[in-house]
Amino acid sequence: MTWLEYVKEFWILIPIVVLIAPALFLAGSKALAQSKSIDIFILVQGTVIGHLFAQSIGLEGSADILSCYVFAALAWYLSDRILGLAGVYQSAARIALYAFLLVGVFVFERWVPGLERHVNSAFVGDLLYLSTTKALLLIFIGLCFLIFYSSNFHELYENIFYKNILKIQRTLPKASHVLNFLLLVSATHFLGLSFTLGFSVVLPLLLSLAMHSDTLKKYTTNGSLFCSVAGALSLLLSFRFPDQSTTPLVVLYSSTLAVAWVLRSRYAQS
Amino acid sequence: MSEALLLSLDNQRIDLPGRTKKSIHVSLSLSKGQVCLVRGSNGAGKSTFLKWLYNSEYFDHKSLAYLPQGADEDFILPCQLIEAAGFISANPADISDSLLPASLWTRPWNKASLGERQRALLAGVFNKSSSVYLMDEPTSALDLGAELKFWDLVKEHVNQGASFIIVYHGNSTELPKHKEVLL
Repeated sequence: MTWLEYVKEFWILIPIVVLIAPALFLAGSKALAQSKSIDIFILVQGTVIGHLFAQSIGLEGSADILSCYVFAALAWYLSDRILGLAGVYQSAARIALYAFLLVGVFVFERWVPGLERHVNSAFVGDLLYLSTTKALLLIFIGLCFLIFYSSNFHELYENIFYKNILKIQRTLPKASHVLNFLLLVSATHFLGLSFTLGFSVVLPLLLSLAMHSDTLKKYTTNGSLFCSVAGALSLLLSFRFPDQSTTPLVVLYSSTLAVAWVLRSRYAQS
Repeated sequence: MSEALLLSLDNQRIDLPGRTKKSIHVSLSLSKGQVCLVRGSNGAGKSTFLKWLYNSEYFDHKSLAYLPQGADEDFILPCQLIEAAGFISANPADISDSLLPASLWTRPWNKASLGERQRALLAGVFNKSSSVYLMDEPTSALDLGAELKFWDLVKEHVNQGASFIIVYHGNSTELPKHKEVLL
């Protein structure tokens, strides 16, 4: 297949990346602002275990997705319980939880023969094999997240500022937690762990370095646009190398562009 | 309670969780247009008392402005002083001339000094136009000039009928007429 034929065949992936990459960036930025990026790792790892559990007992389709939501919710609940424990160094305890979940993946892999392929697909994703139904579901979740986020931007960050800087107890709206959960679990299940972590952990950090003197509003707006454009361009570029895994290439190209921006901003400053 | 009396605590017990001293007892009354300074040694429970007051039902949160200590905390994402103050109230730069020069409002929070951060937060709090202000060591990082401007703003707000409860360690000669509570 030529590059153009790939584009025609997989055009649906372009709106997905254009919507989901900035949504993940915004979800990751919010977690970063709260020093809660480890929550994303825990949620994503819970999703992978849910997927492997479903595969190990032969669940397919919507039952597989449901299993991901259940295990991710369980992992999230455990992480939340740790936050409520007194006299415990919470960051270390949550890293321990993540390590425990990571070990769980390998336990499943050894436990059930033939699961290696699913472990691999959970990590690198199967962007090219996404069904239309899954693609539409992802686009719907991404749109809901972006609309909610843009219409509640000030309230969300006001709450984070009060809680993290002024130490005044504020709670984020419940819808924010639900949409975050749906976005991260669905993105991990449909697009893979590398895509989800790339756009929700790596890109927010790199772009915060590139725009360290800007306003929060400009950071979130320009960062979202960057993730949309860089993600789409990286996807198109990845079609030039059909033998390679698409998702890791998209993350790699986008991160390289972000690093170039960081270096440019540091060079301009010196 | 008379109309002008906003708060009256008589030997109120306030728990100090996780401290050697389990609780403190506070007696305090606050009227409209009054300034009350809360003093006491380190660890006496002054910040806990202020937080307790903020969370109590004595004041309507809509008419209350609370500024705890927090200027020393970093914000991981890019954020300028004008935005940080904007989380407390809209248009904090309205009183920028008196607390923070206009040129400093665009400084990144993480690159600003403690004093600059504190002045930005104070601008946000004063701009709320509340009837009661609770402030925890608001001048701890301010230089002398900024502290004098702070007390001028307190006097200005008191003249407009606002009341203040301020945790204060200093010894400024420019203090407005006030009462003191020792914890």
